[in-house]
Amino acid sequence: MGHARLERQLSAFLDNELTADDAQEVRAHLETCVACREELQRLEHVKRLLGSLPERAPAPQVWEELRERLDAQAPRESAGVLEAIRNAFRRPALALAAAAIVVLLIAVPLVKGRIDRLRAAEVGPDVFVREHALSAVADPFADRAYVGLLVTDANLVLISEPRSRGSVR
Amino acid sequence: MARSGATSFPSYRREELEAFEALIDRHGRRIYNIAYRMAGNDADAKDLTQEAFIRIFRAFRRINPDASLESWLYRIVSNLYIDMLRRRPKVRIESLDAPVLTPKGGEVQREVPDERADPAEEVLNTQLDAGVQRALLALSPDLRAVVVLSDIDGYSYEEIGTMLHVPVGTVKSRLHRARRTLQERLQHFRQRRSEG
Repeated sequence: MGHARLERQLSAFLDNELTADDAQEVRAHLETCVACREELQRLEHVKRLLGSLPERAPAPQVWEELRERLDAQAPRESAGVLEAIRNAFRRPALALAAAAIVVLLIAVPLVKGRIDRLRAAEVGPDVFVREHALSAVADPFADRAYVGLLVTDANLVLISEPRSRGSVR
Repeated sequence: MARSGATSFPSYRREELEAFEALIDRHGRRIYNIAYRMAGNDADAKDLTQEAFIRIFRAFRRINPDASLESWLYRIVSNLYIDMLRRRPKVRIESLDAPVLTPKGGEVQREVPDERADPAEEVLNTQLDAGVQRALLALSPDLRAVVVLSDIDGYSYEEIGTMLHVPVGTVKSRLHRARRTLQERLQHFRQRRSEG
């Protein structure tokens, strides 16, 4: 390395940031170069001067204000309902209860709806027969006793008390 | 430092808040000191420090606990400072020797106390601090950041490279340029020392 290049290595030499070979080369150059020796001293002085500067202590208000600014900027969307939900889910018992309620809310209407549909299918023919029987009452030639029997029969089915087998024949 | 605890930060869990408080305790003073040496005044140092911690706070939950928060904080401070200079183009270094124009069109010289006049130790230290600070402010922000991190805070070239996102070779050349410029400006302190 030439003088100019070695001169540019002096700061790194001062900071022990050169490889062993490069440091050795700089050291050998310093033996013979007065200008570089002086330059090294000046650089060392700057480094020492900066290192001797007292630490600038912050005023306590720096941290108080920081806290106020953080409060003002804290993400509020997670603070309300979402946070309550999150908190609840950190407790297993509450989480389980919440899950059970959700399952019940969904399952009960589903099951009940299905039962109602099955029941409707079961009583459907009876509703049909009853309606026709009632309209047949208007017919002067209809057997009123038989029509009465049909209507009663259907009514019994609709109020969930189907007639016993063979009770009327 | 008065800490208000968990109630101040409703969106974080207690242990997260404690970790953040510990971060301020551990790095707050040094970050402030670096910000002060970068910006040269307490008002800007305060803003830079607070802004750096606010950024860390916003991202606190996403931060990898193994990552070096320290180097991140320092990078944030130096980037914030450079941003601040960009936003404030009117900020410039003005020579103390330049005459000040009066409203009547005349020129007056500033009365700057002679730094080499008072022998009292405390005054000397204050002057030294002010003198070095002025010399630092005369450097470009890039050079200043490197020399502050190296010579005031004692970081290695590699650490500074990581903090500022620049190669080690760049750290090395910037530091050398910064020291050479500083030594020209701070020559009188050296002469005084050798005289005394």
